[in-house]
Amino acid sequence: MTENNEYNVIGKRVPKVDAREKATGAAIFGHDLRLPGMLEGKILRSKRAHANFTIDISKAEKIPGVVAVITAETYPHVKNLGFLQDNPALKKGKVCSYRDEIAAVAAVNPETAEDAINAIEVEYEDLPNVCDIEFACMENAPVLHEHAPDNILKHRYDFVHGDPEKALEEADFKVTSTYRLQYVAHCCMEPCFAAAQWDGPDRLTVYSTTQIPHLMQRDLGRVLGIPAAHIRIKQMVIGGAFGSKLDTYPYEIITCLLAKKTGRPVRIAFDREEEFIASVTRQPAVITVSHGCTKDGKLTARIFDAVLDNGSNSSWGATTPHIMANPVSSLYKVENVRMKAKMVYTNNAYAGAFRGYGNPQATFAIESNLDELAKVAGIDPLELRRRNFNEPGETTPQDLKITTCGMKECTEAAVEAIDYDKPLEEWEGVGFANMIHVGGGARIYLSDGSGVTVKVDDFGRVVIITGATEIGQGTDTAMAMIASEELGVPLENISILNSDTDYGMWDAGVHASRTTFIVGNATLRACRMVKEQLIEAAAKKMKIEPGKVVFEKGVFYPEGGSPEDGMKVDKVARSMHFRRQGKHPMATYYYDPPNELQDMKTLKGNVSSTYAYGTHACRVKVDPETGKVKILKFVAAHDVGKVINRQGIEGQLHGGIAQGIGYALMEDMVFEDGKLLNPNLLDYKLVMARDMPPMELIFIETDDPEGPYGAKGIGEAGLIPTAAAIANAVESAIGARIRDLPITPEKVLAAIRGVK
Amino acid sequence: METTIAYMKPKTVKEALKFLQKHGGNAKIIAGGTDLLNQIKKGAKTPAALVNLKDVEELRGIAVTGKTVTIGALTTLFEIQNSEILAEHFPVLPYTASLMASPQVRNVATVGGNLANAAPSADMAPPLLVLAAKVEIHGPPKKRLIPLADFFTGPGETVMTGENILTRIKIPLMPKGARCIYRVHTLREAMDISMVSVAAYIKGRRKVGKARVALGAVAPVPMLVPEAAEVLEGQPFIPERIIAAGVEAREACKPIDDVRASANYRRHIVEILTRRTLQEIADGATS
Amino acid sequence: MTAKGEMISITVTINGLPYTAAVSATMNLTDFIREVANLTGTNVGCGEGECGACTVFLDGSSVNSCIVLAVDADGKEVTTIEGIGGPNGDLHPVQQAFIDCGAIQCGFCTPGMIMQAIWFLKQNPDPTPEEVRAGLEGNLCRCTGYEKIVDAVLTAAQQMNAVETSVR
Repeated sequence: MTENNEYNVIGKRVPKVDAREKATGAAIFGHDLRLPGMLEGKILRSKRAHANFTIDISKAEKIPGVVAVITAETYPHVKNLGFLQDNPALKKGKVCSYRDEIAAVAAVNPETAEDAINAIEVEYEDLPNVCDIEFACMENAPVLHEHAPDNILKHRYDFVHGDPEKALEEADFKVTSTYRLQYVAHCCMEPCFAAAQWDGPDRLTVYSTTQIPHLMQRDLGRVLGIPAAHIRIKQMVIGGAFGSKLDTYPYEIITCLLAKKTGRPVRIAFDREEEFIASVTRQPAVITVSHGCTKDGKLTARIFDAVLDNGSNSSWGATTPHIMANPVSSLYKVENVRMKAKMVYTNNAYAGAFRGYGNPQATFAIESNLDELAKVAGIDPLELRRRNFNEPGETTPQDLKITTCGMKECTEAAVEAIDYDKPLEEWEGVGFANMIHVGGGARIYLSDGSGVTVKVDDFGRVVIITGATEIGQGTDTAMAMIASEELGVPLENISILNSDTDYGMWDAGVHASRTTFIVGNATLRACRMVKEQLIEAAAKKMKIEPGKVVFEKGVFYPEGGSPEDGMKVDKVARSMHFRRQGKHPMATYYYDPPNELQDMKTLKGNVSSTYAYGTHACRVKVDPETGKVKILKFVAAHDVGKVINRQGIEGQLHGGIAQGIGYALMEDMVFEDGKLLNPNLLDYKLVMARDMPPMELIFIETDDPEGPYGAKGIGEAGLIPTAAAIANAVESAIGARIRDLPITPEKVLAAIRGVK
Repeated sequence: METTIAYMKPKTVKEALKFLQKHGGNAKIIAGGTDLLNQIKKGAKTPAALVNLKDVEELRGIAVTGKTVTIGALTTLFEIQNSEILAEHFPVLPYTASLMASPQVRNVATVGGNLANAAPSADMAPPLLVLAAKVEIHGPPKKRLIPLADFFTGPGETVMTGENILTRIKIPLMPKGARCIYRVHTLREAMDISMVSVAAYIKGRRKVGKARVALGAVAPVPMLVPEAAEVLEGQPFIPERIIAAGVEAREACKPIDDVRASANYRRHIVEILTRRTLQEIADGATS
Repeated sequence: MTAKGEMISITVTINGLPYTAAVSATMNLTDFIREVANLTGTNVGCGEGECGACTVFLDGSSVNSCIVLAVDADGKEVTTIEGIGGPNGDLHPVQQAFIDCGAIQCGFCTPGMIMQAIWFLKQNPDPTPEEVRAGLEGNLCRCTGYEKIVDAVLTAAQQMNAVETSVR
């Protein structure tokens, strides 16, 4: 698609506003933070998956240079963390996983802290391990937590529309299969970091890499028992997040407690091994899906049953079915749908939010299963999809209101680009998969809003003050572009002030692909308010009606006049406040989208104000003797509403595809009895430059009525259909279906032999 | 309480040996880059001393003398990758180096380190095994030259004691008409440890004179497979014999299950990769 | 008890300035750069030589500074990301290309990636895309899918070659 000429800045390729500081090494990440007197904190973690324990810290306390050693006993009134508030920052008497925190130290340097950790004496009394969800659900299985005697989390996700069992029974063709999704790690290049400093007994500053500064402020207040109004979160430059920093975690509380105990700033910085062992993962799942269709290929039934290994405690992973419900209920038109999900406590790692939030898992199962159905029904997989496309104006079984919908356009563009009908060579395959995801925010708290203040100073500089979080995805740049477009100010004269809860306005956090959509809308509206003020001031200065002022490329001039005789933004700004009883050109807009909090009983409601669609298609070649899969070409067509920053959106999709390819083909956290066997970047395999296939991106602009300039959120979309597309292509190549991720050469080979 | 690790940076092998002896074998030799630092930091390893060989100039360089090429143990993988001498005489070695780790690691990692660390997957080992390389070891009981085939004794273990230094690798020049190549099976295209690797040496085009096949990552040590060589030697170099050699290699390997692959899969790949490697030689590959 | 190497006094020249300190023999070069010289542009992603985030030049060769002993840099020249630009805030063409091409997202891998790209282009001033990918095979990025990084290195190569030609 050609670049749009209707705007000066929007839709263009714009380098990131924070790129220079990152290219020169000037960016200050967490581990670059230097505070006077700062101590090094370290955490002692369990050496067992499941055990009772007693602890003796006396030797550690005596080591010179050790300033504090804390356990659960030190601050007994600290409250629990986690979605179900089942996770104490420091565990008392019992551990339920290898990541469990049992003590922590603060010392003058990392070596002394390590010595102190090694000097803490712990005696374990082993309890039987529960590392398998089936075992965990058995009648007499050992119990992890008293509050869950059956090891099943008390909240459920049940959704039903129509009569799916009857519809499946009566379907002309049907298929049922079970899919297994593995544990994968976010692998942010920057490991977890936190630093904390107290000013008196109840004033706290936390230096953080969180994605949810305002919610973290609330969490810290509740857990530490101090007024949240006394807490300030300052975010560092964040070296990747992808959802991993969407919750408040034990290490962050421990950092605060160590700082409190010592009266000095304390930092905790994970190394890579601790990052693998102790940070959250993507939610693993076992998903059974059934589909039924008529002989014409009209989908009539979908039944989706998910069991999630919740690990030892709850974080956001336990709520991923909430978002799984979107594709389950609404990917293609299906009249009768049922979804059930249960979450099971085990002694494994617990999962958090991870780009896509359950949707990649659900889409893998659904889109794999649809290809299986197509095979059973003798209909081409593409034809099957075509007969069930979502459409604009549709209200789905979950009450999602589909306003704009590029599903058809994405599919057709992707299959054309991949040359879907081209005859396949031996062991070559072609496959594709579709997706739906929230694209206009997602109301999962009472508020899905965000506030932005825009001010114009007397030099024509525009400052955007926001509570939104930049994690590398480029929203700072999108906001700057919007301000540049609206106020005609060049990008180099725009700054973004964020990363501090003291001046940033409430923002629900960077998640759900929401930031460019929500904060973009807030920025756009605040800029337009400022523009009104400037126009009014310019009109006064020119002694004409505001309606007669033309504003173009940063210049105000009278209608019928010429820009050369006009006034620039800085001059108009000065005319407003360089006077008695002046006014400063500035405006605040708080945008909260027109979406709904879903009813947790029925799971119905229009959770997002628009939905993003996309199709991934690929061509693969399989080595039939080794099982190795090579992706020959990868196409991603996305309904993005409207491109804001072409360079940024391409980067988001490239990066998403890379993570999706890793998810599909190589990434796998291997656990044995709750212990991670590959906590390093050699044996946990991320794709590298040489592993990436040629990629083609296609943007379908559906011009969403609610999005800023028509844009939809796109941050997560890039990896949602990836694994399913690859699995479908592999099936096309080898004639056998692989239902467990990752699709390793070993599994491919076994599948080929199974066919023979 | 404080434990101090002594540090020495000798200038000669003799000096280095003296240091090693002083610490009764509890010293650790450092040659190129090292992941030891992280393990020391975490308290996982505590050597009595570090002996840094970087200044031992006599252990550097690649030279041809008579019918032997000598590679100093301190030669970096980058130097191997770019050596004109090796490109001329053993193109398989620059190629092998180019497959290993990353450019940054190759700039510091040494060939001696790769062998002395004795990982079952050490990439330099299989090609050197089939090239009939010998390794020179200094230190008690005496300076000696032994076949690389006798060097490895287990994962991370060799015939060397803590008071020994691997100093040089000596490789006999290949006779005319001999070819040697190395192939790996990995999941990733870079920065990966081989699930299986195969080196093969064949003299003769239509008919095989001398043959050697070596495997990496499928036994406690990198290993030669004489059984695979036997079915080739004295026989026409044809697919039938090549397939048989693959089967022999499969029978001979002793892989384990680990996070990288199962033993069964590795066994299967040994057969496939051995066959493919030999077929590539038959088809004219030279590195 | 974690052990420390004996203390040894070394002088390392970093970006043209000498830094002298007594350091533990087991200190790695990254810590010397970050803690002694207080240059924090060199990032630590793994500490095990697997990710390339800490790439610097040691006497002109690119190395993972996390697996190099600080004492091995004694008397040598180290160049870090802070040392590759020109005076007055001028950028190296590779830095400029990373910015222009969108090769940077979270930015944590960026300094190491840029250092490796510069070293690689010295070895191979006119690479193919495949050669660039091989040249960066030791550098992990979790954000970009590498596509724009490869673009940036090719763009920088073109620009540097054009400058070279015009100087001739």
